[in-house]
Amino acid sequence: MHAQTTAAPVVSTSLVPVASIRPGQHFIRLDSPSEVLVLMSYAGADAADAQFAWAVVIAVNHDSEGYVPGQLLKLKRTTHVRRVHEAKAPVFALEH
Amino acid sequence: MKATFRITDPRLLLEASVGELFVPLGPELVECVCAMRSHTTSEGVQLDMTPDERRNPDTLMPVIVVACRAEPGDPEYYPAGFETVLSGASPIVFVHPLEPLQLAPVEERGKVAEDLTARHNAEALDHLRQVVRGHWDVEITAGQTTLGLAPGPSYPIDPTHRARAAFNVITGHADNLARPELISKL
Repeated sequence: MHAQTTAAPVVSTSLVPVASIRPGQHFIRLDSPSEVLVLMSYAGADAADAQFAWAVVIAVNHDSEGYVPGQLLKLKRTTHVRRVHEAKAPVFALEH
Repeated sequence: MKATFRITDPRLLLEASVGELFVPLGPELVECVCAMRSHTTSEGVQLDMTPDERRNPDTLMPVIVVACRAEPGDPEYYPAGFETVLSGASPIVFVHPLEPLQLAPVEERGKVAEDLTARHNAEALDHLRQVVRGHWDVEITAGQTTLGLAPGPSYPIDPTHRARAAFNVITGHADNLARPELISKL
């Protein structure tokens, strides 16, 4: 699914650490803002990785470099991100 | 009104590739657009299974919810990022988005409150302008707010205290109307 951020508003959003994101909330990273992510609880995570959170890509922009929906990412909980939400419910059509 | 429709070309989950979007046809996630969970290695994006496992219809494949048609609270609602496993033999239909996803920022609670305060201050200033204009010679600007009681001195008001200043002036005006002897002293 492609994401297209609306013009200026996103850059004005406050920064929050990954640790403050709740499951199901959408966010984008600062260093790679072309992917929309949500947190997930990854059953395969190592117990020693408590300082990390797992996020999954749910949408990518056209300029995203190699990311795909469903891709698992490992983020430091202290990493700052921008929270976003869907301004409009996405619409899908059946593939032919 | 109940709609009936027929999916003419169901596919199997094991046919899905990395990054493709699909809707399971049951029994789970029937209201959700999903993608297969994958991870990144030095060789790129990979599924968590070998090619042989993936071709086995009995293999359980990790699936991520990307979007859901049901509303929160509905039995079939699952939030984005929810993960479950489905059999490779699960029937699915592939879908694609009709338009790009549009995003809006989510502001901090404190930021929203701050914005509301600023808006209320602006509304109070507008109200102040309407109330006192015609009675006093008042100059109110966006930055430094100055209350000039011609021909007397000017009183600078801290812009951060605009709402309180407006409230005080309006109250004072009402008090003064009740006490005509004070109006003559202004």
